[in-house]
Amino acid sequence: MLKICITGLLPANPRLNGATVGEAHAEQVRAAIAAAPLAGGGIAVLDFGGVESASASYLKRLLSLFFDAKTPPVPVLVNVEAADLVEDLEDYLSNKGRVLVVAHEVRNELRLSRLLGRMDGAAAETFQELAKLKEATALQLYERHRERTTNQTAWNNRLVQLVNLGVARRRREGRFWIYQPTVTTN
Amino acid sequence: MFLDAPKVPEIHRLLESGRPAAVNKLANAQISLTVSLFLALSHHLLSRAGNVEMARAIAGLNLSGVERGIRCLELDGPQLSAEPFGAPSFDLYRIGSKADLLSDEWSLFYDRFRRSAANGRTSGMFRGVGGVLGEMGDNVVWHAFEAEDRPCPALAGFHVTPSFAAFCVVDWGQGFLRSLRRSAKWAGLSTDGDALDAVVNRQATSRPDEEVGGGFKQLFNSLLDFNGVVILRSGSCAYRLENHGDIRQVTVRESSSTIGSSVTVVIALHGSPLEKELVIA
Repeated sequence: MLKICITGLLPANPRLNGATVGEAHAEQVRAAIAAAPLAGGGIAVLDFGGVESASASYLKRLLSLFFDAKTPPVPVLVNVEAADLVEDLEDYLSNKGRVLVVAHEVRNELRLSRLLGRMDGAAAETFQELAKLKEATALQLYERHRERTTNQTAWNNRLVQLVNLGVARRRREGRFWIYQPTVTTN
Repeated sequence: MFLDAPKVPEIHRLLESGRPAAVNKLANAQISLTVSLFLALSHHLLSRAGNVEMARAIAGLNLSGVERGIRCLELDGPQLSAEPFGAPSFDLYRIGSKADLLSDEWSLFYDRFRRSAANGRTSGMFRGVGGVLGEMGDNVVWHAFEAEDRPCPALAGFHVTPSFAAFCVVDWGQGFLRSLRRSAKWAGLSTDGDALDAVVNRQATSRPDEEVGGGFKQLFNSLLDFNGVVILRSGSCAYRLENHGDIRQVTVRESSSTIGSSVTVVIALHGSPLEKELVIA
């Protein structure tokens, strides 16, 4: 699993401000991604341990690296502890309509701590369902909740939306896409 | 008295006269941080343009902070502070390239402002305001520079006393209007006043890949916690935004056109937040 310590990027600072520093950090993250094999489900763990705050212009430059890309890795944040940092991330992600997974490590495995940002009602409901089931197909969700949608396509669209948001991933088995949360939920 | 940032156009007119004698009108003047930085930048550009007489006239005024500013701009290389972790009442930092902002010295600089302004108080508010100085300095390379290979000189500075704290970023760049016009969304703006209004009230940004700018939003949000004033000056317009609790008062002032732009922020512990005379201990 690729893990990048944000405080290890240069220039190092617990309070991250400005697009210039964000751009410099994004360059270093890009280089680390290019140099590492994409193992661990295509996840890049961004370790925010020691970071106290991050301005919107900094986050914009750093995270657009992931948000603008159509391919993995998917960012997963760990050690997001400082209250100011949580607030900065929430503000930025909500304004952008994006979501990020915050996880913690248990015996070298990532477990979901929470989601930062905002998901619309249907996406949030689908994620909750997926988290409960650990993995599912659109057909399974449709059959469990026939009263909620008129067809399977609606569930399929919702699941694809979760993948696009980076909170779920999928693999193909035969005719079906199997979806699961990006990181284990308990 | 040349205390207010909006006085800058007046000073600019004196300098444009090209007569060193006109500059002498500033002799013994009380000047604020903003004016001090503007004069240091003027000296720098006049020197570079070979106008030695006018540059000498500015340096000869011996006005507070101007000499430090001149030295700061002349410095080639890292801007090492004698007390990187100190809490001085006055400090300056040159912003002439991205490298200046990627230097550890830059974050140490705006952290010194936070420390000086907080004056021993532990508060997230001061952390926020220190960060805003970092953002305003960062704006220079993205908005004042015409391009990365077409930089302009700029200075960031702060002045702190027991009753107030001020910081300022002055640049000799393209100004808000030209910067915003680079974006298709804002290409129709026609005056400096329109450009400042777009930045203040509509979160305008010149970055083509971004819908809204966040730097000024951060600035105004941080100020909500304070008894503070923000003065934005660009081209022929100055916006003064004063905060009194929940009430924000905006005053717009038009003047003759002046090169570059400036952002001045003043926070007063008591009374009206006003720019004060720069007195260096």
